[in-house]
Amino acid sequence: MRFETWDNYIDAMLSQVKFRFDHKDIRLEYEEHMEDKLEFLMDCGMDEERAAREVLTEMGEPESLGKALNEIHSPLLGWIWWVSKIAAKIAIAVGVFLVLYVSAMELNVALRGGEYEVLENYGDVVWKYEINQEFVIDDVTVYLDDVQLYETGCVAVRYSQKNEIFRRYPKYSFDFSSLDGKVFSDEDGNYYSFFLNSFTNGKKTVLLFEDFSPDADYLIIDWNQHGRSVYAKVPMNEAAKAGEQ
Amino acid sequence: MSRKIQIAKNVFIILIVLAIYMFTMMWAGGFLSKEELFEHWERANHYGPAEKILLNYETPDGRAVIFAKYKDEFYFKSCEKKGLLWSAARGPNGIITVDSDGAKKGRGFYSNFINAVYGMTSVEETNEIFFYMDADFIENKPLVDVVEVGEDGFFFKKYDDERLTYTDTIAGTDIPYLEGRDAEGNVMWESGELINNINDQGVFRAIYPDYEDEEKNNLPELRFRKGIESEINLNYNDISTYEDVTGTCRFEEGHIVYENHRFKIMYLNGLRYEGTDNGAPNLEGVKPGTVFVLE
Repeated sequence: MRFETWDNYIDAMLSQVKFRFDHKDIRLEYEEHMEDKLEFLMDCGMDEERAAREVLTEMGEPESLGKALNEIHSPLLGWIWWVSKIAAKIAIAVGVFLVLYVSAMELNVALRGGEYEVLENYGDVVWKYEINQEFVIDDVTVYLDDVQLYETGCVAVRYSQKNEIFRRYPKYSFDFSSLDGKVFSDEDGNYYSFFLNSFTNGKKTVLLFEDFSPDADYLIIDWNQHGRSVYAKVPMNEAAKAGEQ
Repeated sequence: MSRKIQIAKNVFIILIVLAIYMFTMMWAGGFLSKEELFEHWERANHYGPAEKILLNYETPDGRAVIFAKYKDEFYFKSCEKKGLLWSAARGPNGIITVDSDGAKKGRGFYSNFINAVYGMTSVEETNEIFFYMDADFIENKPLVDVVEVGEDGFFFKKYDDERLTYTDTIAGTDIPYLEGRDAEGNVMWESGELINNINDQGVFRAIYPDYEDEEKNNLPELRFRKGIESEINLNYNDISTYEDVTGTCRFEEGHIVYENHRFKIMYLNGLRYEGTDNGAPNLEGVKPGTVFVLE
């Protein structure tokens, strides 16, 4: 604002506008308007001081102008607008967060991603057989990846799973539990229970068997539940593997 | 842009975000109906799909359990309504099997989530189930009742009064003793173990030796078979405590020892025992299956 009298004029005008949140916008608008008028009058040959007074004369009584503006800038509508503006800003922030969150979670779901946990204290892997079979169990795809035999005699079954995208909670819901506990066996019908269950991000799981028979030729994975099944017959030595081939 | 248009724009943005929020809540496990939730969780748990919905039970305060059958198994899923959506709840959730040729001819549970008893029997001729469960927390009495068996061997009974109230029953607690009876009231099968130690969770087969006993009128209404003795031995070597309304009793080497309390009759685990005036009753000579009542 270039003139103190202009400040006083606009203050007097705004004193009639009850919705205070609009004062700033109204002030800017009228300052620009008055500046434009001032430039026009000076372009017509009037000096600056006289032009400034002329602008005020042309604007009219500030109180009358303020009352007219107060009718346009209704307090009720103003408050509704102000609250909705704040609410919309908050909603946008929340909406952006939710979209980013769900997208990030689903991107994670879509990728099988991550590595299997490296099991220490069981020695080196002396035998590995890649199963590479996949099974669709309801909304989950289960990948039987491989079986590893450690030099300590422990056997690890490694599998991963993937959900349909945008599937509702719960996700990664497949595991090898069963009502009768008879899932893992050898060719002689001996059943085994895993004692360690290691999983990464809920998607890659390692089941560790401590007491799998060293004389067994095959590890049989046979899971059945309500018409769904996962089956694999895994050779546990070269001879058995040659027999499979 | 006029103020009204600005307001309309803001409201539109808010509605869009509300829709995104609803989608997120549904993505996180919310459902518009409990039936839809049940079907979803069937797939998540890899059960079913159900051959039959045995019961779709909902409480007035928005809790629900759906019971379903698949061959010789039955399973159930709990949920509760939060706002507009149903979500999974910590009530009864699981799958059980009963086997008419095996040890478990029937199984029953109580859950505080719905304040009800539910279960299943595989013995087709079973008309009703008598069950016994220790410690009704409110009145300090066992939960003893009879429930009719419906189609497919499923039974369910809700209670309007406040029964077991400790929270660890919310997911369903096994009823330790069940008796399957035919239409004539004859016991066809039993499920559960009879305790041989008064501290163990379980139940004695309680028997009234004399149906004309006046004090029977003060006891909860119980139905028992007459004239059959239990084969258990009472073993009191373990020390336990039992808190009653006025003091503490403990069992020690064949005696009931208590402090600051004199009682004549004690009721515990379905056993009734008449004490002596000096308050130190001796359990020797007490026949197995005697009912105790604590006054």
